[in-house]
Amino acid sequence: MESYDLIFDTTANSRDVSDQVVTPEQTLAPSIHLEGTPSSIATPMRVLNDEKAVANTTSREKMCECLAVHGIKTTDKSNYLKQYLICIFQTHVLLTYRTRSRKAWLARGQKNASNQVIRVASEEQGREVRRVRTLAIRALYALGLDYGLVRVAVQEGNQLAIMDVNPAPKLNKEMESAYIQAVREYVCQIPHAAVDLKRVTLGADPEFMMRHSNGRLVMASKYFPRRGRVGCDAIWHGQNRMKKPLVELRPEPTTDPRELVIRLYRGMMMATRRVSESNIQWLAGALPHHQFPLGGHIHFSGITLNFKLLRALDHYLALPMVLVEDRRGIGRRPKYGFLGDFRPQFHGGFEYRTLPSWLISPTLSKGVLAAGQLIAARYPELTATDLVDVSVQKAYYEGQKEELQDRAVRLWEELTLLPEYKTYKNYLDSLASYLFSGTTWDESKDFRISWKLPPYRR
Amino acid sequence: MSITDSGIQTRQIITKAVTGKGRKFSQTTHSIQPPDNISSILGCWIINHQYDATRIGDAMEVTGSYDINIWFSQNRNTKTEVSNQTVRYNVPVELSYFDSNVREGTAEVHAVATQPPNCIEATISENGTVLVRVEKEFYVEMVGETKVNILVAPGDGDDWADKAGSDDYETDDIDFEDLDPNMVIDDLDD
Repeated sequence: MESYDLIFDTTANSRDVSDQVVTPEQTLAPSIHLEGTPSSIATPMRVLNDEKAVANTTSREKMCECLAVHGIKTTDKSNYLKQYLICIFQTHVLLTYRTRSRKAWLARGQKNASNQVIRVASEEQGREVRRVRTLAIRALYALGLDYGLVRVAVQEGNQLAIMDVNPAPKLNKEMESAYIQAVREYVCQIPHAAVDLKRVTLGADPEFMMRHSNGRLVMASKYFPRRGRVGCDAIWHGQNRMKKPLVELRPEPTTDPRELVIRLYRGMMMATRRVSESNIQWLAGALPHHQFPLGGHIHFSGITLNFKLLRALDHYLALPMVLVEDRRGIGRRPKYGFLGDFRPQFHGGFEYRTLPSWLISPTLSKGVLAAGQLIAARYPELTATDLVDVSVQKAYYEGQKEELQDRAVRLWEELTLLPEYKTYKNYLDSLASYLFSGTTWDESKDFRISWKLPPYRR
Repeated sequence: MSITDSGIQTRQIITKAVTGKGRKFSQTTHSIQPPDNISSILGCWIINHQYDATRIGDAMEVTGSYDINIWFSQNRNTKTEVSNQTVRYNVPVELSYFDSNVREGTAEVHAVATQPPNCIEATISENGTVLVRVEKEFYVEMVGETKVNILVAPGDGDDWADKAGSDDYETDDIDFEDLDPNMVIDDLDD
């Protein structure tokens, strides 16, 4: 697989960059290596479209297998109503094209009607376009790539499926200038990507649910408002949308992980006052009830989002957490908890949504938030690329603890070498001994016991 | 002295607002009797779509019609012809958002076909009828007059910075008695 070298130069103009990353055949280089970056910048940050990831797309079979591991549907070319072509650079959609939908249905053999594509304005935010763009970014990420052209089919029943992902697409004029601009912006961001811990503002909205001793779900909406520091999640139960089973803690964001935990704790205290019945259990983790997967979303702001940051969070947080998860929680994936699950937020930052509800343990909560900030601040210095290997992705989705054990230990050791690790040494060391202790959490256990919340207060 | 001179003032204003909305995707199979001696179907096109939304209690319904044009061949593919049939439909649309605080008699409903009826496939069934599969999707919106309670600031706009309240609507009065989370957090090690 051919890779192109790009001289690291934050002042390079479009022409310089274009000369280095556009092939004579007017296609984008399948893989780009930045040469001459500051020595603290680790390899993952210096490579766009890792060759191993590009190799995963060379055969259609391999590509479909990888996407299937992530729960992404693929399709061959025959049966679609409409086709979208999405040009992506990491978390950004640069350009969107689509074919006109066929007005009339024609019998077999005459299906190859016009395949002419038209550009969709980037402002267009219709539901279908949004779904297509999100899926395309997810597919590109799943394959371990940083940029490429993703073809998405809209099939009958409003179903979306990936037709093809091309890491080295043929470029038209506007694609070329959009990709060159994106590469330049990425290069310019590198010197400022690693920041002080306190530059990273953390927020969180972990969920939990309540179960009556007779086994029935207790609706959060019965006790909590929709909005507020403790509220119910938007998901509903059964026919009635007013019945909302999930409780969500929404502490004010802060730059101090410990303060965030204190705010979460206050939220839980407040909740114990609203729900005082002793025969109601509080449950967290990944999937304490088969219908309702729980998330421990972490919000980050103050840093620039890119795939490298998401991959670092996947490697150093999501992978090690598999070691301690209750095996019952594996069913949460891949519909939820898939790798690199993010959502941009109105506050200008983003929400990392891959982790299950870590509220299940105070040690885990404290450690995960501290580690989250550490990783987000220092990810350009981290070296892991384990997840480019499909078998490691599989091990994550299937919860193969034995497969991941040694890798997780090695990844964690790397974190301990960061000078900033010391800032949260207490929380991080405790988290490490929890993660590597060989125990797993029990999702059927009331987590108020661990938090020593009423009625379990000493 | 008018009551508007004292303390915090509120006012009820009446405004038009979206008080309900919903989305409905539907797939339908129409069974159509073709003319005699049909050999094969060559194509199918749906045209002349017309629709209207109505409110039925708290729910909405879209009613409409379209023409299904089928192009087929007859007599062992020696002749082709287009048949035209108008079909009517009604689709109930469940609202995902509904606010019942609407002034009686002011609610209007609107529907938009986010995906106009589109033929997915047309086949000849075993009993000789033509089965036409159609997909469509609607977005409906209910707009009505509603009362909104607003805080009125005295003076001109310059005072706003001081008067705007904090957006923290914490209703629970937190009183932890002897329990200071600052003391507890670091001791939790489960």
